[in-house]
Amino acid sequence: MTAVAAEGSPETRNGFEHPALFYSGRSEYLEGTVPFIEDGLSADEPVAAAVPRHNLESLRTALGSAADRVMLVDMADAGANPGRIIPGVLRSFVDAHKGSHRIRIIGEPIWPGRSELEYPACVQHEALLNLAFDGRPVTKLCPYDTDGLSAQAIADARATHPLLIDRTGRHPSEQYDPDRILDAYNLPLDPAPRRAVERSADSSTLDNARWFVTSYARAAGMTSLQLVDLEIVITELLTNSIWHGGGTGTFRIWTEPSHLVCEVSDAGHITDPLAGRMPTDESQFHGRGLVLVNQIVDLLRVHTSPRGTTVRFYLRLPAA
Amino acid sequence: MTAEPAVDIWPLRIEECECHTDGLAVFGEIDLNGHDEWEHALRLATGRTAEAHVHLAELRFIDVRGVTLLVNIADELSDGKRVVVHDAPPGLHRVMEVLWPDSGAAIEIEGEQR
Repeated sequence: MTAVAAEGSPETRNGFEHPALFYSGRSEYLEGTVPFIEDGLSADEPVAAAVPRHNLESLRTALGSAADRVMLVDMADAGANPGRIIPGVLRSFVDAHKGSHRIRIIGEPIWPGRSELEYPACVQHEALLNLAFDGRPVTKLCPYDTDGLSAQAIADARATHPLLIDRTGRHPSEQYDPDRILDAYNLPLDPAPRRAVERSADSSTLDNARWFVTSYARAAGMTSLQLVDLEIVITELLTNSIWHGGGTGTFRIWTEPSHLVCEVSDAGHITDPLAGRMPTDESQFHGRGLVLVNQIVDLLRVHTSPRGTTVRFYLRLPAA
Repeated sequence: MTAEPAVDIWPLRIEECECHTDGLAVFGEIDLNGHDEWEHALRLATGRTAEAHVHLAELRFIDVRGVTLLVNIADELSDGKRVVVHDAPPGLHRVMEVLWPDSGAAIEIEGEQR
């Protein structure tokens, strides 16, 4: 495990730092975040903050004119699907500032208001950060609202962050165990409802599958832009099934009150924990498909094991 | 009509276009069934000329691998060479805007379907 770097001593700081900030109320939030931002700006380090809107506004106000020098992102928007935070929000910022000796990011992916459906994907995201940025000169500060979040969420934060910061100071986390979290939240999905329509596809019926889901979704009222996205997503997931899941994918499609839901199951096992989050090199045939899927769907949930994989995605239905 | 299609492997058909010396007209859909043929046709067309034209008005769909091949082949072209893509389907724009938001000058996209 990496040693906890001494605060503010550049010689000992190398590699990825990932503290959780446990806060209660707005002043603790700002006390924990504003100096972090200002220290970064003084040291000419690139700084970004991806947090839910209410906190974004607090930061913007507290920073005053310094806010112009910080990349401010609404996490509820950019990170609605937690699977896209690493490739879409974080890595793109980090890659744009290659060569900086340190990059600071405040990322708040978990707040009261995240649904039960989204939560497992949020925690998996936090657990993967340590792997995704290992060795990179990035400090990622993750605020957790102790007033509004459940005891489970706070306990999970202790497992996904090696360092904890609260009003009593900075402490290494005794419960740090991201692998346990990845395992625990790789959960079987609730079965598809009986009203779901189910079909299978292989390479010779892949175009049928595109036509089928597009027709279903069109009838459900999706916009033409959404239908373009859906066609791409179903193709990427079935292509993965064909190449890596035994040659066939079974897909099911149905609607919930606010979403079109579709899932693809196959006999494959996703063993790369960062699949769908890291851009891969060209030698990997399927490298970018799942990354793109994560970027364009509203939520992605995955269950994978040696017995097979199910990838389920949600697309928001247009308001009635 | 043109000579035998260069590629005719369902659901993909590629012919030489009639309007440019080195151009392709693509019909149908590009997915895993035709990735190799698409790549081969693109390499042939871009290998011969400074400006390869690719007509996609009759292309209904292209997957991420298909777009990746186009981007990579264009990136490998030497200075001064480029690919001009005509009437790309909406999916091509979507994949490019998500995965290659700062795409280089080697691909020029002219026109969109509908």
